[in-house]
Amino acid sequence: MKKSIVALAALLLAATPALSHSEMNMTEPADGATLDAVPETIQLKFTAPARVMKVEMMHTNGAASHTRAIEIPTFAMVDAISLTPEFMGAGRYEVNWRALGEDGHVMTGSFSFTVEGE
Amino acid sequence: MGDVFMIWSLLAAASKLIIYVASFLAVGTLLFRLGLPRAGDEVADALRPLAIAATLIAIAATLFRVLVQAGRLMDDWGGMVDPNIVMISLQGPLGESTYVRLGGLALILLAALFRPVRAPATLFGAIMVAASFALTGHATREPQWLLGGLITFHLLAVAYWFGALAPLYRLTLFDGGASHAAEIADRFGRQASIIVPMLILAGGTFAYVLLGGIEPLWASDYGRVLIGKLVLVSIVLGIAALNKWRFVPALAVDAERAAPRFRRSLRYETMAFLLIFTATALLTTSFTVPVS
Repeated sequence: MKKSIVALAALLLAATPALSHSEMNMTEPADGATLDAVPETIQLKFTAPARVMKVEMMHTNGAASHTRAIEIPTFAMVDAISLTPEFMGAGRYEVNWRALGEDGHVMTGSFSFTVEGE
Repeated sequence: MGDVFMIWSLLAAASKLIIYVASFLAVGTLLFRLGLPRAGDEVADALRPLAIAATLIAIAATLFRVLVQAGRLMDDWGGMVDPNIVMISLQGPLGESTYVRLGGLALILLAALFRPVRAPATLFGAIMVAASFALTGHATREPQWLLGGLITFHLLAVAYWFGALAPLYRLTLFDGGASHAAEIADRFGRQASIIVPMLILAGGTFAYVLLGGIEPLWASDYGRVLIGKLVLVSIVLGIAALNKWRFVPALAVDAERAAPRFRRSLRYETMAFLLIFTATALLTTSFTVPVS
């Protein structure tokens, strides 16, 4: 009895790494996109209104890698938000975001794109 | 980011688990007093410190949950003490849920402390605490009136059941209390035979409406953890059945070692409940309901 309860507890805890509350339905640039030049903006679009709280962008070019926080223009509930980060030229960009969903859950997600030109 | 994300998820689930256990213990212990007055003042007085301590822990955990939400939002310990982020955390569903639960717990505290207001304060406090869980998270989805109503009833019944374990355990410890404990446990068993099917029906309907069918049970992480929870629920049901048909009748005739066996069964039942609450805390803080 004790063993089966412990085994079930282990099973539940083992499921924890799958955690996420992501309800993003679209980003611009799209996840995995390859661009000729850096975009003017980054857009996050949600399936339901959300309050974007934190966005970080990691730029990797060769061995060099930098992470910057992106300024959030509003903490209001939005369906979509447009961000204007300072891009760092060619390379791979990974954007990590956090938001508060309208049901009170914290949502997280990430997407990446590559810029081949300057 | 991943490691920190795990820490915030686990902190959110841990604080929710403490809220569940402490709230249901406080509410349930007092509801038991109302639902089974024949249990007597002696056991109610003996468990009053437990009810008060559980209420205070539930209040502290409810406040801590808001701070965890603020930290989790910013993925930063500093977020927990940033007044602006804490205020944003309190806006919307989590804030409404927090205020209603704190109000309900204040009534429960009054009920535990002042006998003249015990009955109304317990009833209103219990309903407010149960309803507070319907104001945030998955129960806020449409149809909200149905999901919220189902989860409120479900949690009231869970609190009554879970809250009965400590008084039943305590009753068997009084000198010569075996027959009295058996009588109360038998009455509780008869109440449970009505409440528990309704509890399961409410929980099952909630899950079915939320998931939009049966298939997401095995096709999603949420569903798989829910299956784990259902397995645990079936264990609790099995223990409850053993109590009703084996341990309580043995207690009634004062059979040899009946009281220790009943207490051991109650301890197992409590452990299984704690695992159910753990699964629920993970489901409600860290898993996305699959889109139907």
